[in-house]
Amino acid sequence: MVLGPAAVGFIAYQFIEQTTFEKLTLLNDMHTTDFIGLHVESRNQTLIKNKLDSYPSYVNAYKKEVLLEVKQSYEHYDGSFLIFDKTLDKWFYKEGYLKGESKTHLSAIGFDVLDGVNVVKIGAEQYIYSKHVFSPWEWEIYGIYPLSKASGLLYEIGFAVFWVCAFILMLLFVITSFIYRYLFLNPLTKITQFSENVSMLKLDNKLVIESPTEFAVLSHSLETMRVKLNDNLEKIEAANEDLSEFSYRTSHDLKSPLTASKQLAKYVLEDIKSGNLQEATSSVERIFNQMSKLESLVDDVLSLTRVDLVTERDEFLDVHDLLSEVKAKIDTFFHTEECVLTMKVDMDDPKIFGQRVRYKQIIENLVSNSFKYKDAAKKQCFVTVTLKDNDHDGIMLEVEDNGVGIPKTYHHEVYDMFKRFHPQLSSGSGLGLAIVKKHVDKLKGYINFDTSDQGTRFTIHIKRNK
Amino acid sequence: MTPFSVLIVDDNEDDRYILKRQLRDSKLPISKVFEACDGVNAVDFFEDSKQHAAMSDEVYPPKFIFLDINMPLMGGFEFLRVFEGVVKKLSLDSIIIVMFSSSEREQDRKMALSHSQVKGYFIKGAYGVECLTEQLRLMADSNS
Repeated sequence: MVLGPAAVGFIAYQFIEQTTFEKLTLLNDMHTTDFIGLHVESRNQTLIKNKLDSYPSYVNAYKKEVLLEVKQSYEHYDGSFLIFDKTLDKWFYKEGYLKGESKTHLSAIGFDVLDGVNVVKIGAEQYIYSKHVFSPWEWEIYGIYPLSKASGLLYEIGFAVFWVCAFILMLLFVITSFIYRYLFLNPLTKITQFSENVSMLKLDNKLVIESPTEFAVLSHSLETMRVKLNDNLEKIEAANEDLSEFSYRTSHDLKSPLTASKQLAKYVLEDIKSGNLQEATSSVERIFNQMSKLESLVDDVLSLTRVDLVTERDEFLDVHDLLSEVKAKIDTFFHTEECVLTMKVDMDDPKIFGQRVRYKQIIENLVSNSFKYKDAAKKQCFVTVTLKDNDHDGIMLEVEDNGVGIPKTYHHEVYDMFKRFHPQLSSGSGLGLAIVKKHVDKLKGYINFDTSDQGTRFTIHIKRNK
Repeated sequence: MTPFSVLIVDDNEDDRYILKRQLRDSKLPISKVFEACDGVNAVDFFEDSKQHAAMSDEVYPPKFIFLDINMPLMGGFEFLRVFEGVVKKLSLDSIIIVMFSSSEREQDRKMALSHSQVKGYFIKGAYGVECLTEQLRLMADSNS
């Protein structure tokens, strides 16, 4: 803080010292020239005019007049004169104490050079001087100016410069720290706080910096980052929750048949030992059913996880082939004589481009649901699968049945995992429609249903993959 | 111990069979085992007052309800919620509910046991007949 102005003050002092001495020397010299012109030269002219210059008594009288004038002080000028009269070999000064001092006894007058400036020492005082020779009178006239006065002046100027510089630097410092604080420190503190929050995944606090522009831009992109991170975090949390619920349900549903079968197997052993073969047979049947359930659950879970992992390539597939594959599978699992399966294709181009397994699983799951939940109270059970072109250059798949329908209370849970709405009618994993929905989503299609106790119709629209 | 009846609420017929056999092996004086395949079915059972009239005190109301958690349509927890209303209406607060589930999740156990009528939590396959017998005896004694 102090060094800056001090340095500036010192440099200014050096500079001003130099110029001040030059100016002062010049002024002193001018003053001396003036003095000589006005007081010495003019008198000498008078002497010459009156032809008295060869009369020493007249000359001396004039000289004396000048020496008296030397004693006078000037109101606005601290300088004075020192005169050496060669004819008398004497020094004259305004105080007069040098009167009569010969040149050989000039102990009180010492000429010297200080910092490149000529100085003369008279008594304790030092003066800068300007030497003139007035030859008609054989005078050496020194215009002198006290060095102390010059130095005092210099110090004053130096100090003034020092304080001005100090003030300016102070002002600069205040302005800079203000700028630093409000333009840099504040936004930086905000950003630091924000980053700390983000790093600890506290994503609720917004970051708003309106100025300066650079920080505003930075804060805007950081804010975007926060929002995106927050969204993704929510998605991840939701996905995690889904996953943990899924694994809980899966492990539960996998474990249940195993636990039951283990216990049943124990009973089978007991019953065989006790000779109760009828009970043992029934238990073995139970085990068989539990294992079948387990098998189909594992299949469904695998299908579900495969929805995201289908590595099969897109291929051109004829929907007729697709439908006959589905039919073949349905025939092996269900008694088709109890329920009539009809398949209709009404498409200009029966070839679609896509992954076979997705289409197959969608149709298979819907059709097998229709079979599982057929309404035995109805005279003729039927399931109709229709594939046709829709109005939007896509395909429409419709699976309609006259089964028991889905109770209205559960319509919002139709595509949820592990949901079963008619547990008495059939067993199953409760994953079928979840699998269908996931495939439809993957194909960027949409699915809806229409259901009542008269039956159910699922309609799926899928864009043709070109 | 006076004879008593029980109600098993479980969607899995095999699990119901296993529990029935265990109860039979326990030699507890069980007069009758009622079965319900889910929560809805169980609520219906209590609300069917006509049938109850024909039953003796030994048979209705059951002393224990064995309740599964994961069931389609109405699961165990939803049943507990609905059952509170049924208990008030039909003053069935003497019934002891015992959870009978494959869920080992601590939160399920806590949630179930926070219900005033739930006195026990059995994990399927993780207990023996002796244990079951002893626990049921204790619960029956402390409740009478």
